[in-house]
Amino acid sequence: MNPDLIYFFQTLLNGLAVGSMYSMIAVGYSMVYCLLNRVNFAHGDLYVFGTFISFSMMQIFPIPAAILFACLLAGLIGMTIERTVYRPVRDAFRLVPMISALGAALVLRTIAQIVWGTEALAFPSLLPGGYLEIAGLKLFYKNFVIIGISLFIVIGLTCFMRYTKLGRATQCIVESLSTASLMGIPINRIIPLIYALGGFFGVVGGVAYSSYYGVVSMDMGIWGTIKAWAAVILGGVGTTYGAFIGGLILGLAETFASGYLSSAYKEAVGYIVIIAILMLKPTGLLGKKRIEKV
Amino acid sequence: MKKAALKDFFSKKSTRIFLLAILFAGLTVAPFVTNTLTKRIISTIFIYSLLSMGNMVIGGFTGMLNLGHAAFWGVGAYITAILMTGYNVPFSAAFLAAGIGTALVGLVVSIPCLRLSTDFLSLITIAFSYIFLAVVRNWMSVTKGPQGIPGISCINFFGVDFSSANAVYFVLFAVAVVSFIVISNITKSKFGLAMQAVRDDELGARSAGIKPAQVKILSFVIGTFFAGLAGALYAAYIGYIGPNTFTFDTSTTIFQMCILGGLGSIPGAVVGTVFFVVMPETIRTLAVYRVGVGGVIMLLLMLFRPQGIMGSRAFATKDGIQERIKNKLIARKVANVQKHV
Amino acid sequence: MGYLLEVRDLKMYFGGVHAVDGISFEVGQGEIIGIIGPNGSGKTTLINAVTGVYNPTAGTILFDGMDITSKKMENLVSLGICRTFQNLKLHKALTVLQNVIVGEHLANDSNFFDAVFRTKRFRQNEKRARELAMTELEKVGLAGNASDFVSELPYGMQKKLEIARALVMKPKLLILDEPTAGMNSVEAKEQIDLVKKLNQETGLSVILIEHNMKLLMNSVNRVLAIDAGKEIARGLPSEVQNNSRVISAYLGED
Repeated sequence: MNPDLIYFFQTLLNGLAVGSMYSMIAVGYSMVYCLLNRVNFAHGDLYVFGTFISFSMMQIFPIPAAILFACLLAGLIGMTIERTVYRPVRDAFRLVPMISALGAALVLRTIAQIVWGTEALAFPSLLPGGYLEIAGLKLFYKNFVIIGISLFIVIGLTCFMRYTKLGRATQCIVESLSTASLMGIPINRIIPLIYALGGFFGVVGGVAYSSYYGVVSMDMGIWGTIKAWAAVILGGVGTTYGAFIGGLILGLAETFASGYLSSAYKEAVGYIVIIAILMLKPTGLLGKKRIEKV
Repeated sequence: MKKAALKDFFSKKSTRIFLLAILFAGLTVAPFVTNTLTKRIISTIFIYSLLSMGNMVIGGFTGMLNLGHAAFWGVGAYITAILMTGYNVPFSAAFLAAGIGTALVGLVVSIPCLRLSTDFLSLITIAFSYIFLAVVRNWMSVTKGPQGIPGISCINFFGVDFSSANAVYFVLFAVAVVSFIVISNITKSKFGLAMQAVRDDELGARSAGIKPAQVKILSFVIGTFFAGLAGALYAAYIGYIGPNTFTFDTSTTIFQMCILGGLGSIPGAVVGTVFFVVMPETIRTLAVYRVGVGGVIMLLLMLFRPQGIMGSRAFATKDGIQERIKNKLIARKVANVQKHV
Repeated sequence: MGYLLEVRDLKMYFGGVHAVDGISFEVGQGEIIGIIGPNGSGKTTLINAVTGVYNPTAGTILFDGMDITSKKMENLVSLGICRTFQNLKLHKALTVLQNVIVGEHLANDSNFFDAVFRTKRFRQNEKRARELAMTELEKVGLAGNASDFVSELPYGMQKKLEIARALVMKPKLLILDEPTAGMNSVEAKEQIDLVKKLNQETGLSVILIEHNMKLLMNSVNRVLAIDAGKEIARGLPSEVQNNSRVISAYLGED
């Protein structure tokens, strides 16, 4: 096969894997974001915190148990953050909950830095190594595992939102918090649950990311929040698979930018793609236009 | 009752003028009686207060979460540094160019708000801050990449050199005071009112004939203009600039200054600046906790006093913890009274 | 000729939902027109389409003979169309007085230079804005609350404040979307009387959207009744009140 073509497909495959990791972080974020339409700055630091915990747990417990424990703990922390930081200011001025979440993020970051230090740590590679070579194209197994996990998560969450009672109730809250509350939907039980789910799947994404690159560091936190937020906005607020597609596009844009331009500009190119798409379609790719109720 | 009396005392115009005069006198005497470190901290406060006041216009008045303010600051600093070291432009001209150039960048960054909602614009400011850093770190021929630009000559207005530490101090002081007056005047005018109207209810503002996109762009231009001036002062004050000063974390800190000081209050921005410049200096040995202290303050502030130190009490929520505790106390008192009856 | 506002065959579709489906009406100089209809009949959507909150799907709107069909709300103010909202759109972190001064925005011709340097023109404009705002607050009976924050006012007063904000713009046509919503019958009566008084004193034309038919009967010149986005009756209040289609629309009969 033509080497240029091989390079293209190789980049595509890498891009899909990177995009899948963004998607994993983004789908969890998407639910939390849609729920109240407030930027949740704590999401990134929460999932990295969870990844750190799984890292420490792995030294003692078997790996699956360690990851599960970290996911559950992150879910619990997510719920706690909702209860202590979000709920009291839910009806406040738009910026207030965002800033309180930022405060929570900074606190989490500091705790992590005190416990695990400020340096990045080497994360064990949990994904299968090796690759299959077809016509000069190296198909890394880890890429497929990552893509598989993220597809599984997004399909699972989409089904959850569509077909379960809890998922439908969540959609009602997304539509209108006050109406949902008036209709007897127990919002104060469902919202923490969604925060917990967001934290849970965030850690899945975080562990996948850290084992893919073999590193975990607290800097991934705010970075993750921004990537997830960007992916959600790009895909369109309000759908789980919108976040998934947004994450994929972001990953592809960055990987192609570093493959063909320069890795120094990859983030910049990612953002330029987002801005360009948003300028063409202000509601995001799959976002529905909301009719403003006056 | 005592609290009310205290409030009265502080809200009196004469008291305020008196306090301001004391502050002014103190700052004037300060460079002659304090050490170099204190002088440097106060000078840093002057520069940062330009940033926080500018961001207050964008965030506190128009309600936009601008998370790229440090990048705008960087634009101003780099314009100054490049003009002064590469083209031998005098500081006075570079100073103006930094303000105007940065305001133009602010204009371009804020133009998407014609089509996008306010929250999406925050994402664009974040994107801008990353794009700025990528360009500065990699455009070696102009910005000298990660090493930064050294050897920027000191502040010099129209041929008068302000090279002594005290002279620089007074230049920064003067610029900060003038900026404070200009920004206060703008925010107290119909432009400031329009910004607040847009912040509180866009549709309501539109029904009064205000065009929200114009107001948002205007506030961006004003805020980034002062960020550009701050950049020029910073470059000439330190004499060296590098990309690591103008990061996302710095933007977050600038925003925190505004929040702590109080949304919609220009004096508040200054108060917030004082805190966030002085706090890291005092716990220098415990650098790890610096971010955490900022975080805890944000949390407590949002839960107990969302309006910040000097913000309008209208930002306090009815549903806030403070209110709920008060209601609980009242309920307990009522129950007590009922028991006795 | 002679009508202040003419709406011709206005349609507002949201996907498959025909929220307003071919409504025509007109408002004469100095008239009060009532628009009534049950909940969800499309009254508010109609007004939103007229005032440029939405861009109508089809139809024309003429104001003073000028086509304003796809003009946005912020551009209608200078022509003389002002409105209030069903769900209050006030500026919560501003005081009552400041809220009204917001309405004075367009009339204030201070420029940026004036604002920075506090010129004489700036001070005069600020003084005039405050005085005008106070006058309007007195008209609606809120002068005593000028320095309160909006969130501290009871709901009924907030409704009045919205009217004051609209009045300070010196409109030719004032559109009030359910100005009595959430009020008890005494307050509602007062509110309608206030509108009537404004109309009589200044010759202001008014469109009054109201859910409660009875309230309008003695105060409006003509009534337009709509249901499911279509006109079901129009004419004098007494005629519309006894119209069988209106009665069945309100009682939910078919």
